Amino acid sequence: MKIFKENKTIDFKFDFVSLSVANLSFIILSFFALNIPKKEKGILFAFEKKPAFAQLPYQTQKYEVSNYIKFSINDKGEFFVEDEPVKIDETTYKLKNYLTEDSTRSIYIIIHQDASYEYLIKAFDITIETFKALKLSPKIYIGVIKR
Amino acid sequence: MAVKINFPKREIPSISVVSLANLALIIAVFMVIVVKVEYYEKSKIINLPKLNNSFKIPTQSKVSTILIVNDNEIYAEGFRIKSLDDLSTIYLMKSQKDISVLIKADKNVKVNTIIEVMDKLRQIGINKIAFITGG
Repeated sequence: MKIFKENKTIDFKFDFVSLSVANLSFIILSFFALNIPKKEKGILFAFEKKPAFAQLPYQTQKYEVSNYIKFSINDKGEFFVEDEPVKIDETTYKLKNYLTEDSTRSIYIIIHQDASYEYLIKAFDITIETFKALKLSPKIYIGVIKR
Repeated sequence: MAVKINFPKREIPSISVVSLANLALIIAVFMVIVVKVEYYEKSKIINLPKLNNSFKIPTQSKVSTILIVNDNEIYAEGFRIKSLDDLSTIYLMKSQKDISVLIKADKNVKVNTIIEVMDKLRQIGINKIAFITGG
């Protein structure tokens, strides 16, 4: 592009080569730095294509769970195994006893919708620990008690 | 008497447009950083529940993170969502059905919020969902 002013000419140059290598590398590095995958820990679920489990209590016909140990948590964070109140540190022992009697059983975590997420994770922790201790592959179901 | 001065011939002046391109790129990077930093700051205030028997979550493949700061503050792909239907917009538009979604939620969030988010993701067709925990 040229701008003519009086009898003078100004050139607007665009030279790709002169795009400084330092700037470009800074931009590329920034993008890489922003996208570095972090090592995360947690629980990974791989769901089958079945109805969403939050509706589980209402869809018992579609999603039947049988031969399970009922492990429930109320909105206050109190734990129950087979409807019996249990202290947190005793739950693993209780669940182990039930699983030793019949190792084919699964654990069905039933949690109140108003309970905090911390208790759901705690329930997972206890359940996984129980299965690990008995060297069994975890079979866990979750149900949510709606008000 | 008029004096005739012979000025030396000047080179034609020029302006390099390269700096404009650089500036545009730097602004773009800056915007991305601002969004990411805000997202990172939010993820820092989340108090993750501790899990002793946790597993390493593979993050090499397509991964997206959902931050649940509290029952009313949820972020997906760096953006705050107003309703759970926004999740459909975010994930369906990008046709990212084969991705894994990592849920980073505060330990005080109600189970109901977590389940609703998971339900929505499963309705969209996302079947790989992970809970990210601390400890």
